[in-house]
Amino acid sequence: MKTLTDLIDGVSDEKLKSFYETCPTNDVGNVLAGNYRGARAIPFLISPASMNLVDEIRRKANVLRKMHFGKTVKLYAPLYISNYCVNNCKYCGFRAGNAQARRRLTPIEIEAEAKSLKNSKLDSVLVVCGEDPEYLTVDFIEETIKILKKFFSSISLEIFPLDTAAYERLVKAGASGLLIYQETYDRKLYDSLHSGPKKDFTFRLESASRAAEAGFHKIGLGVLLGLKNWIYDAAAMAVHAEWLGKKFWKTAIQFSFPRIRETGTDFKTPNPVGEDELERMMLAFRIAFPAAEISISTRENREFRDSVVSSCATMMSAASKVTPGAYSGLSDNELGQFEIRDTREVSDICSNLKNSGLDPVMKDWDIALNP
Amino acid sequence: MKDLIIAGQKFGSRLFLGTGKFSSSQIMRKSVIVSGTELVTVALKRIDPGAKDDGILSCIPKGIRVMINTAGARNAKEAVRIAEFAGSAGFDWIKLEIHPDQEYLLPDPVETLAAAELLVKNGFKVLPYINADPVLAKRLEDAGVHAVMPLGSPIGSNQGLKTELMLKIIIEQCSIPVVVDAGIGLPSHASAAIEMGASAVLVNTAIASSDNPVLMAEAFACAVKAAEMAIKAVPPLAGYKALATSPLNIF
Ligand code: SF4
Repeated sequence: MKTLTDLIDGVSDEKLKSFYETCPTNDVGNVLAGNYRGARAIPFLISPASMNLVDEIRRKANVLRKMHFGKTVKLYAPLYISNYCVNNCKYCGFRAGNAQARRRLTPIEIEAEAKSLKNSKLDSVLVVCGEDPEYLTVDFIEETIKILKKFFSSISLEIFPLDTAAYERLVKAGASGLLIYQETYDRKLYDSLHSGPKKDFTFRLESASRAAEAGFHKIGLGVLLGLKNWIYDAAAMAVHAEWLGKKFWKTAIQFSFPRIRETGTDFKTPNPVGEDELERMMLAFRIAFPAAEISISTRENREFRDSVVSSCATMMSAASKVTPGAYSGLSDNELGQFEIRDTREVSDICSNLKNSGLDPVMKDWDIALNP
Repeated sequence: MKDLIIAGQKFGSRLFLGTGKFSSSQIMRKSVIVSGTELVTVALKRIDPGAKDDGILSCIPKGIRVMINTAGARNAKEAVRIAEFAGSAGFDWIKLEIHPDQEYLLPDPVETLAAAELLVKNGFKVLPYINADPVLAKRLEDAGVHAVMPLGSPIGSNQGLKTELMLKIIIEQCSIPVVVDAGIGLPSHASAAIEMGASAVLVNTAIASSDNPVLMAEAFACAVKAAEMAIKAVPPLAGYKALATSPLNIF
């Protein structure tokens, strides 16, 4: 069996280019007919030829979405616990080199945040932080999970990569999901964008495997759209997902498709991704990986979110604040990691979803499922 | 046709409903009422059994048996823990479903048998979701479960009774009720299952994901009723083979 690294390094711009020179439209039809899925279906579904079939693709995605997830949408909110960071990712406002106000929440402040969030009836929370190992030790994250457990059924983490033993402790503490975005699967580009511990491409790439081994129920993959051309990163992420799905067949996979939102940096997005391209990519993943959750964040505006959530996405964040302490009023929202485009309250999102025939689901997990 | 009795409770309808995937709890409630079902299954992960105003539980009409399912469990340990949570909230009917496979949600026979043995010992009424595996069905029957729930095809796939041959063997060999669960996409699939001799069918996606769940629930109710009436009417032989539930059996 090929290693994950071999497979990822096997994706190349040249291969994709020559593939697209020859891909006829009827091969896309072959995918839509359900003849194959998974990683090899993705390049067809996002091919230039597929653009003539957008309506069919949308219909197919919608059928599969309904088949696997019915008419439900899961809601969650991110909870930022620190925006200190030792890394210097060129595209991020939290990066170490940026002179900006920082905050690390104390356990008492985390509890206050949890209380405020819980008032909105949300029951699923995603812990987010920068890489701040001096303060955010495994002990601290473990403690955070224990606090949040008092308020939420489902706790997921979007934190810096750890080793298997550390992940195991966090699973035991009560976390069920782990999100780790590769940002870009292009090694060279990755190298040029990162410094600090995050520079280790392979350690990050293999985080999902370590997390699955450690017993997380769900692993979230994602790429930061705008860094590399999106076709490449979509193809590579699909390869990663398929490999994980075969090796860790008991672990659910979910996908996120964040687009860069420049804040507080002079970073210029090298390969901006349009809304229609973003939609095509999401539809493609719905068809190629019909059982996987797809999440859509408040980086996107409400019209777009409302539209993809009925065609392919199954989870959405709601009333998000992306600054540590913002829910409980400790700090205003100006130090956020990205600009929020959908500022609706949870109750508005719920009533909008209901009006379009979708059931907002708060609780889709139970602590009984954690060890 | 024998009355449908599971764990001592008699059911007037052979149609059971799942409560997931609906566009709202109100539509779910209406579908449940129209279907005439007397048993629904609810995922513990979707409810807060302690809360008074739980969206799903409070929408299930009184008098309908609620069977908690263990969806989300990947092994016996997790499933047993869910059942214990349910038990402490007063629910002792458990639809045991353990599907570690994340793509087709196929049930794990090894973990299911282990969990079933334990739960039966602890006094639960256990109805396991299984692949259409006759030997597994007998093993579970020996373990003391109250019905088996073999799949017609993968959950939510709406492909009907692809496992027909094995379902027939299970129906022939089991002396506990056999409820065909998963894969039933059309009322005709439900009829076929009952005509084949299944005690009941469980339907969720086909109703909840249709454009008009309430109408579809009624359609399923009609189909199940029709099949039941047909069996009572004793159809003339098709070809040379009698129906599995031939009334000529005098023993
Ligand atoms: S992207 Fe994450 S790791 Fe990089 S600077 Fe921002 S917070 Fe730190």
